[in-house]
Amino acid sequence: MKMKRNIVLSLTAVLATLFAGCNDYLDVNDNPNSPEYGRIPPNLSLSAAQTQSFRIITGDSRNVEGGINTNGLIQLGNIMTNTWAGNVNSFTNPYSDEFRGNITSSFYSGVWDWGYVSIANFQKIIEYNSEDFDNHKAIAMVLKSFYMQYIVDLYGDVPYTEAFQGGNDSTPAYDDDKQIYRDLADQLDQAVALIESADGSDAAVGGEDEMFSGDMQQWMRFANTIKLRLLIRQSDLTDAETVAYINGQLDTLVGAEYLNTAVTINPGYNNTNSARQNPFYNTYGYGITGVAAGNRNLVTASEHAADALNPVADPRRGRIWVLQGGVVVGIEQGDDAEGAPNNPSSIGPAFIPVPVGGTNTSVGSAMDGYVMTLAEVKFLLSEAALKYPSKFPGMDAKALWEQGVQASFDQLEAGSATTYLETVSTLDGFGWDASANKVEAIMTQKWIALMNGNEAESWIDYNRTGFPETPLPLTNNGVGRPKRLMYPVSEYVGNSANVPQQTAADVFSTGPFWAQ
Amino acid sequence: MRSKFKWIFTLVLALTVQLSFAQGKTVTGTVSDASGPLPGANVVVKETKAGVQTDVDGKYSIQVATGQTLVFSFIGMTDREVKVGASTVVNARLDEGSVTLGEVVVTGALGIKRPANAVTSSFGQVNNQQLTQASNPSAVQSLVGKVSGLQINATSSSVEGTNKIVLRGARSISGSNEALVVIDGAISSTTVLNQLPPELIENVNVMKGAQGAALYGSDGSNGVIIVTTRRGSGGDKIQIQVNSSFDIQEVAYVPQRQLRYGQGWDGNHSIQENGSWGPEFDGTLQPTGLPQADGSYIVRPYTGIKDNIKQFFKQGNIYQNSVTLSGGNLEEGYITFSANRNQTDFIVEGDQLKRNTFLLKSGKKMGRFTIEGNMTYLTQKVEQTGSDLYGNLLQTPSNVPVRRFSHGNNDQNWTVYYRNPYWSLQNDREFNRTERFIGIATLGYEFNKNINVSYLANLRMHNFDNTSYVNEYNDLAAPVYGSSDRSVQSSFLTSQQFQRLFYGDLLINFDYELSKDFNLRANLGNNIQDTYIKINSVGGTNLEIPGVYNFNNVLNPYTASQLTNQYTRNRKTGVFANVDLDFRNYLFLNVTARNDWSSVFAEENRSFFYPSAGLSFIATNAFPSIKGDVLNYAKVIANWTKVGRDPVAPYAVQNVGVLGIGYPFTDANSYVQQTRITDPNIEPEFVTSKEIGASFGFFNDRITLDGSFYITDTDNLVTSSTSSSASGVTNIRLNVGNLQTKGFEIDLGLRPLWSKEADGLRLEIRPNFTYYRTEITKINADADEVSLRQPYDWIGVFAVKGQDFPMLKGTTYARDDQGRIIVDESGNPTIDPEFKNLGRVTPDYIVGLNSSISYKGFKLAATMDYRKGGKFYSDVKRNLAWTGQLVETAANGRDGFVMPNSSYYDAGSDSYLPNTNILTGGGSYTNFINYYNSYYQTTGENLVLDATAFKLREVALSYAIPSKFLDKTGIQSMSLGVHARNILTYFPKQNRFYSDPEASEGAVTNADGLSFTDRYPAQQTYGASLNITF
Repeated sequence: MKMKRNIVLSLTAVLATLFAGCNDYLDVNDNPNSPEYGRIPPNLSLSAAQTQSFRIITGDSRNVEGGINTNGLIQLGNIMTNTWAGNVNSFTNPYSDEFRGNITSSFYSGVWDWGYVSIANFQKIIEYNSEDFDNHKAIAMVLKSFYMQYIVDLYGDVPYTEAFQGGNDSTPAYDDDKQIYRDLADQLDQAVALIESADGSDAAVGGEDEMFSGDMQQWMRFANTIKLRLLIRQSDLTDAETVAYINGQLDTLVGAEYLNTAVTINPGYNNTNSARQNPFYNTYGYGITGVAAGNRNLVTASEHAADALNPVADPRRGRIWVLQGGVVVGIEQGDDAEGAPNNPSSIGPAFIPVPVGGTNTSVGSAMDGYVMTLAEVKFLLSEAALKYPSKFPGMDAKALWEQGVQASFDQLEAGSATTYLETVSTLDGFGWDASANKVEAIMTQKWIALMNGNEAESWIDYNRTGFPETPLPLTNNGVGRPKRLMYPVSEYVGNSANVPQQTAADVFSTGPFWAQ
Repeated sequence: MRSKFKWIFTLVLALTVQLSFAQGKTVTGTVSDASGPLPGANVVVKETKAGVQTDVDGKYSIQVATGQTLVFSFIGMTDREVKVGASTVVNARLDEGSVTLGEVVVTGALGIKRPANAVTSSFGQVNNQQLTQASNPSAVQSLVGKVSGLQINATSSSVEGTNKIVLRGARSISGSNEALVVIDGAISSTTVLNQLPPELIENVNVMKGAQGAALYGSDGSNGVIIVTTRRGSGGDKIQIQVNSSFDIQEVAYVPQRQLRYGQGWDGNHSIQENGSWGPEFDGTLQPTGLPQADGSYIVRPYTGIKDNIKQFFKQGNIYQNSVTLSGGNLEEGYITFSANRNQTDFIVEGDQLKRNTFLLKSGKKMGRFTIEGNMTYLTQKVEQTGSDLYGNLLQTPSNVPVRRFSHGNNDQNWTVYYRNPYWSLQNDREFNRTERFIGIATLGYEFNKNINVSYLANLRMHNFDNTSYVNEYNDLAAPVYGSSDRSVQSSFLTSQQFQRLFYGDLLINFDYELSKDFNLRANLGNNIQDTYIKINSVGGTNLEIPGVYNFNNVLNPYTASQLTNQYTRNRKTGVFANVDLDFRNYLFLNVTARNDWSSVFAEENRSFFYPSAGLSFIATNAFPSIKGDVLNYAKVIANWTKVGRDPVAPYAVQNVGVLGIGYPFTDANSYVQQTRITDPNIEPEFVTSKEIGASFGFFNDRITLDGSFYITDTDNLVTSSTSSSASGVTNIRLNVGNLQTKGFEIDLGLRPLWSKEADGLRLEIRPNFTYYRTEITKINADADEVSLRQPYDWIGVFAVKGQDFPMLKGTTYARDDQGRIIVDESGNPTIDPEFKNLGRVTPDYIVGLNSSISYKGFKLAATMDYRKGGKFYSDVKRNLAWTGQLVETAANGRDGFVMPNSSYYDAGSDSYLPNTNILTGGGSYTNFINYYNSYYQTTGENLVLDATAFKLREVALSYAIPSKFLDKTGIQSMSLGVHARNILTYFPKQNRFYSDPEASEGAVTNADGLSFTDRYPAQQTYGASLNITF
């Protein structure tokens, strides 16, 4: 009996201990594997925020199903501007949705999905709870504006004021595209102000800035350039309110400095691992040991691109494309295997250096990524000077245009553009003097300068200006090219109460506010 | 084997029998059955509590007065009553009878045993004999068709087939719907059950009703499969049992393909194509495939070879051998040792599984203490090819003599578009080694006849070693033909995962006879669970020295973000109470309550409580008058159950930074935010279930009928849902919406022929019927559907509000207002990109049938099932469509056809007119291909098939050699058997054996209904087995 009591007592004691210790016992839910996000300072997140967002432009070969599909702006732009075709000799119906005009909510949905989650990293830096990172926050504001502009350009009305709040608001409301544009311009002003006011208490930006290595002067120039791009995008709008707004904003830019170099990114791309390669090279070129990516054989020059380069013997063509018999051989978009040439030109050595000895990819893997080329900047300034000469005293549209062409030659290591400029000077649409519409000359040259680069910029300009002239693919369903993308599946599933009604036909009829 | 099995039941019963002695004389005797003395039989003096058990020789001795009646009983035997006369020797022979439905002892949650009468929710039992009838090495697969409400889907058809067990449909959208597996009182997993040799299993109790499982808490909310392994053999003599079986495994079927057109494209024969879009077969000698190493071609008549891809697969073999030694009983101590070996040589060359299982069980009752221990050590090694070679193989044109390319050279393959599958066999390999140690210790102490306490401690340690590699290949042939480079970079990855899971149950058990009418049994308990998992991996690409698979040899190591280095820990505690009240042995009430605390939630959400109540009424006991020759048993049950669940991963409620892609590029790290997060305030989800059911026995159980109807509601569903990416995250796991499952099940048992003699003619037929529907009743305020999986732009699996779950949705051809397919001027249909419902994945109903016939030692048993309706997506069909192998693509001489029931838009009348002459795919061979490539294969509706299937799962014939022939051999019993599994499959016409609808995806995501090409063709097996007991 006594023993029994002891057992009962000890059992009771065991139970009591168990419950008393219950809460301690359950306190095992602190993640030992990763740092808490809120405690990661901007200097430990800026670099990744920059490199991840750059993959919006380049795309990414690591499309994990169920994850994010990252067919980037480069592919979208090069196909929509009829620069790329698919190698029908090796692939069945390449890019058939793009060519047919089969635009669905799955079409390039990665631009939106990957775009927003990448831009959110900038928002987190902006919101980081400390006064000591003004420079970092300014950079984040500049890049948020840069990428958000593409989101608006490609979709129109999108979530903005309620966006980026994670689990606190998983169904953000949509904002008017025009108002977003205005706020982006304000953000850029604030960024410049932050840089100007940053003092010794603010952490200096160093190696974590993979774009300008902490050169804040360049960040101010970049901010000004993006602001100008925002304004010029709206320059064809004629309503008085917009015109007044643009003029007012341009006044704030008088005397401002603009980029004098390309904006590149390089966190130390190398060929030690596929995830460390320049993402464009990895996606469209070669793996680290020289194995060709599937896209390497898929992407070829279009006939339209070839026609822009061959007749004028453009010195850049052998850099942009792999020449076949000394010329660019392009496939007409939508052509079939019987009609297409057997040996089309693939992406050239300026973009995809062939591995040395077939296996050494150190050169291509380590290339800088181009966020914004100098040619793009010059053509933007040229258009600004052309349209608003009074706001750009001392700037000559034609000279800037020529500088743009030369900048492209420089980037492609194609020598001097002088001869080329002479050759095209008599061609309407190609040369400045021969072109009745100077905007067409700017847009055509911008398109050529951006071949295999971020042609989405050119496609957006095409939606705005109608230049350069772009033929439709043979297989086009008669619907033409869309003016924007459809809201992605994720919005219909995850934000259906807010996503605006939209049909496939809508994206062919109207663009964002500046192209309606 | 049969008698040993019953013995254990008897032991269990014996433990509950109060021992006492009456006045009178001593009567002795032997109790026997058809096969000899019966140890462990009960001998009870009628209308008293006095009783004893027979010893190992079937002998007993009892104090009894003349004129009293002795009742001899043994589970599974008909009771025999003998009035004690003058003699002091009373021998009794028991005949095998049916177990009365209500008497079967059922092991329920937490090992609480009850007679079936007292079980207040529905269950189904499968015994060892039913389980092993066809020597299926997988205990999980052996359950198929044997219990209603149970659905088992194969989640992989590789050498190590994996399965998922679902009871009564879905309760969660994206959390697990898999039933909990409990082995010997400790929670386990389907994987472990699948690796447990079926002959070690004494019986399986499938607890379908939620109420029975409520005590397991969240783990048991999807139903519980309670597995009891065998305990001692009963006698003090060691019994040795040897089981051996050998199976031959072969491809059951491959998809039907057209045999009219061969290798080529655009109507031209070409040696390097992966399409069957060549010219029509003409029997002329043609080069086939790429030139061989010596420059020559494989030349053969240009004709189709039926099922040529079957050549790739070989005959598989399965060897199973086991030895089990057992003896003793609980009172005197028992021990069981079993060693089991399974080797499977799969139908794919080089794919092999080797498994060894050792089990040691022992226990003894000493005074008031009972100590039992159970140790299982299991090792398994699997070698298999890592690549998706079946997807490539399916593209093979029918004129290719597959086996002649078995040299495995890619540059001499039959096509330049993919690597030679034989190359993959040798160069893309995966090795898994699993070691499991499972230890269970139970300590019991009996304070008095009313109160006892027990503790069950279960420690499981699993170690998984996984190594995979791909060898380098530099493509020489493809560039020559202008095709994509098939080169592959060498890579190597090895990972190790260690899991330690502790599970402990403290139970205080009460058993009181409150009055003559009331019996009370109650249990109070505490449960703790502690799970620790550690995973580490290393690997990289570019192996310096070919053939050396070690991290040392890797030139380009993977980055931290491509590898895993983590450990997770989570804990759970619970307190629970269980009360069983028994009124006059005809009314039973069971009430349970449990409170859990789970570490995975934020502190304020950790605690959750849930109760259940159930009632069982035995009409035949309450009103003995209705009991007669026709109706001998009637039971009605009703129960209501609520169970809380915690389907949240450890640490998930914390928002952490993750390394950016590629970091560190050089020397610095940088972090981004997670894109898949969990709501930090996430709460438990609750499953509420209501069930009514009834069991009837007619004509002395010659006919039995079981039925139940249930409604299960899941509230506060925890689901990973797609959020607006604009929020910065793509998925949030949160409480969203509700779902409801309604269903019913009927199990019928028929014994049209049932000889009283065990070796007489006996025929048993057991059909069962399962019906259920799951509907999403609420999805959070903003969305009305959740995408579970969308592998392609044309197909996905969704949870849609107000619709059956899961729902296949996909693209369709656009139709006019009369439902006609709209074609354009070129005859091509317009694809409507908006996803439409393409059908519910779950079947309309499932009918299972088990039947057996036995006579004089011969037994023939068969199991089959028929799943009617439901839909699934077949990627195999898509593969055959674009490569021109689909039977339909051979129609019309490949010259275009009028799309049936189609229309075209007539601008003049602004209306759709019936299409009678616009040809789809007409004009040229290229247009025909284009239709299949650009339209047919990318439209979801073309690839969604009826999932109806009939399968003859098992047929087994066995013969038990009569004991008289074994008398002097030292052999107690011996049986021989032949069996076959999956030998007959029927699909509706539209599924030309493309895919097995059962082989659906979704072990984790519940995105069932998607069938891809990474599965091997279904297999059928034939074999023979031998069982000897010494």
